[in-house]
Amino acid sequence: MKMAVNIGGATIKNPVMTASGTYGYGDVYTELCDVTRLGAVVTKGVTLEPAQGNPPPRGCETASGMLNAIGLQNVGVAAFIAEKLPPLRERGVACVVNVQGSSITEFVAVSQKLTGIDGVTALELNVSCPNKTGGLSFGTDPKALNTLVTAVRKATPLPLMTKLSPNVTDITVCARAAVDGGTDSLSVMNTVIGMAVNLGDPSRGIRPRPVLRNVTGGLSGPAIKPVALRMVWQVVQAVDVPVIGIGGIASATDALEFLAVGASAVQIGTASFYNPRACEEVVDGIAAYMTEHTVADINDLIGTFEIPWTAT
Amino acid sequence: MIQKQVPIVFNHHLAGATHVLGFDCAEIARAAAPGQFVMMREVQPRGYLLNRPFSIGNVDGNTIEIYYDAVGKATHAFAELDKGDELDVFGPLGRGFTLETWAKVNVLVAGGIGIAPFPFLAIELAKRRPQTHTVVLAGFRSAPLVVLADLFAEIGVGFKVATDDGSQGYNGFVTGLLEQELDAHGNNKVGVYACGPELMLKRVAEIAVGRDVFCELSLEQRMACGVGACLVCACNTRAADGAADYKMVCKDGPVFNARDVVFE
Ligand SMILES: Cc1cc2nc3c(=O)[nH]c(=O)nc-3n(C[C@H](O)[C@H](O)[C@H](O)COP(=O)(O)OP(=O)(O)OC[C@H]3O[C@@H](n4cnc5c(N)ncnc54)[C@H](O)[C@@H]3O)c2cc1C
Ligand SMILES: Cc1cc2nc3c(=O)[nH]c(=O)nc-3n(C[C@H](O)[C@H](O)[C@H](O)COP(=O)(O)O)c2cc1C
Ligand code: FES
Repeated sequence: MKMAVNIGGATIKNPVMTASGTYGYGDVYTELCDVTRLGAVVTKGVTLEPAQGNPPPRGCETASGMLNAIGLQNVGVAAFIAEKLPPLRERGVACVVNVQGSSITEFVAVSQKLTGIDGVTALELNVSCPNKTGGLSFGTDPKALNTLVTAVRKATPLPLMTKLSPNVTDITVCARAAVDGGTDSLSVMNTVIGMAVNLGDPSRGIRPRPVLRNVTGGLSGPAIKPVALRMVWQVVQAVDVPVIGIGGIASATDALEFLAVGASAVQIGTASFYNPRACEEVVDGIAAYMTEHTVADINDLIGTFEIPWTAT
Repeated sequence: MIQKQVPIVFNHHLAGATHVLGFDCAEIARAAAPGQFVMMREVQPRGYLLNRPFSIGNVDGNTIEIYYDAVGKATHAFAELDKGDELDVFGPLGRGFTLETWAKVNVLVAGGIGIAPFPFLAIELAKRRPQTHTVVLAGFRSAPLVVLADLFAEIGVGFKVATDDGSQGYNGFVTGLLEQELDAHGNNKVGVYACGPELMLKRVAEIAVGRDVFCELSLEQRMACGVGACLVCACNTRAADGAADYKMVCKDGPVFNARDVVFE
């Protein structure tokens, strides 16, 4: 059975990856899940300097999902290379580094520092940066996005994935802007901006207030799966680069739905929080599905979705 | 750390919103230390998704005891579970209380359900440091909400109650009782361990740090993963150089030295 897929120049042994920000640097679930069985680990977003992130409360559960406003908290690219990458490299785990920044210069600098480093399989540009103080919103402005991807493309030969924001009217416009800038693949999608309200206690004079200190946060988990599926399907039709499906995937069935609409791989985020073995179970579940339906090569499943009736 | 589906062996109501639940898990029982916690949810959660954190209340053979308040979706659902039902659990997690200190008197300060980790701590202190004396100071809103008095008597440690409305024991906040207790002892022989609402912990820290006594706080923060993967559970601490430094309650805590915690 062949489960390897090629994501814009990066070949990974199966199409199941962790989603950035939900698996640390591949070091947190080692006692509960065998990371060496995954296609790749995508790291928490890395910036040029270490960053503290937003003040708490940073997260809460919502209907079939959760909101988070972590901000940019990470160890910084130097510590990442020195401390976080070597254990993954030694265990032979493919590592996609999620790159964050508040300026084009920062994205370029981080990408250059990761270039030529053994064990870095690809870069994933997080262009839906939640940093409220950053002036540019790359992920929602196609022109800024194109400029950013073009600059990073010039700076590194590493396979480049661009992670799109769903918080736009037409995601295909951003998808094309990133492809024109030279991205090798697209990850679809990041979290959906949302908010939660605490009603307080009027009898004690406590007024309704936001649950998150940051007021708004990113919604993830099963709640966003239909939105993600729709966006992956739209992007797959709009561009010619591989697409990685992300959003609410918790089971092999979920993952197979994304592959069917054309995703070449998937990432699993929030599901790992309540089922630390979720990624491994999805690898096993896809393999079991392929056996059951006598599919020899996973690539034969990708993009098999069709609409069996004609438009009226 | 282990993840497992475990059988509930008992689950009853104690008082107010407070319940006690026991589940069997030899691996967690063997590895657990006082102050550590587990992440827990139903095998088929009803109306929620994420595991919830609970202190390891006590360990009795292979049984882990959890003291919990039914306050929301998951905990109300837990209250409906019966012996034989299964839970999805992983743990033990986090950094627990320091057992080896210079103290001769261990003062355990609890606010409401903050009493949850203290049976285990009291028992382990008695086991490992038999020459020391332990007293639990427990604050509740009102007399009908007082729990675990019998258990602490059985363990053989002191148990003093404070109620906000004065209906039992000391009239006022448990921090008033703490000041009395510290006045009664020489400060340098006392070690304080506290768990409860943030305002209480803040006051405990002021009192203990002000008198220069050893003090550890078990902090609470919303969690998603419990293992350091999501970075949701940040709390504000002071780094060695005095700068602000976010630590993760699940991994770096939940127990922190009172001197390192920055309250707003
Ligand atoms: C390390 C740790 C150990 C804990 N140990 C215990 C314990 O031994 N016994 C016990 O009863 N509780 C304990 N808690 C708190 C417990 O996790 C929450 O009460 C529980 O998550 C509530 O879940 P729910 O679905 O019932 O409530 P929800 O429906 O999620 O919320 C109900 C209410 O509780 C509040 N709430 C939810 N989670 C938290 C939280 N983590 N901290 C503060 N308020 C919260 C919400 O804001 C809301 O007002 C602990 C928390 C931590 C972080
Ligand atoms: C706690 C948390 C932190 C995240 N941090 C990042 C990040 O640093 N960079 C990034 O590109 N995406 C980040 N994400 C987004 C996820 O990678 C993923 O796109 C999103 O959660 C949707 O997938 P899911 O529904 O499977 O969780 C984060 C998500 C969560 C829940
Ligand atoms: S709960 Fe996820 S990092 Fe602490």
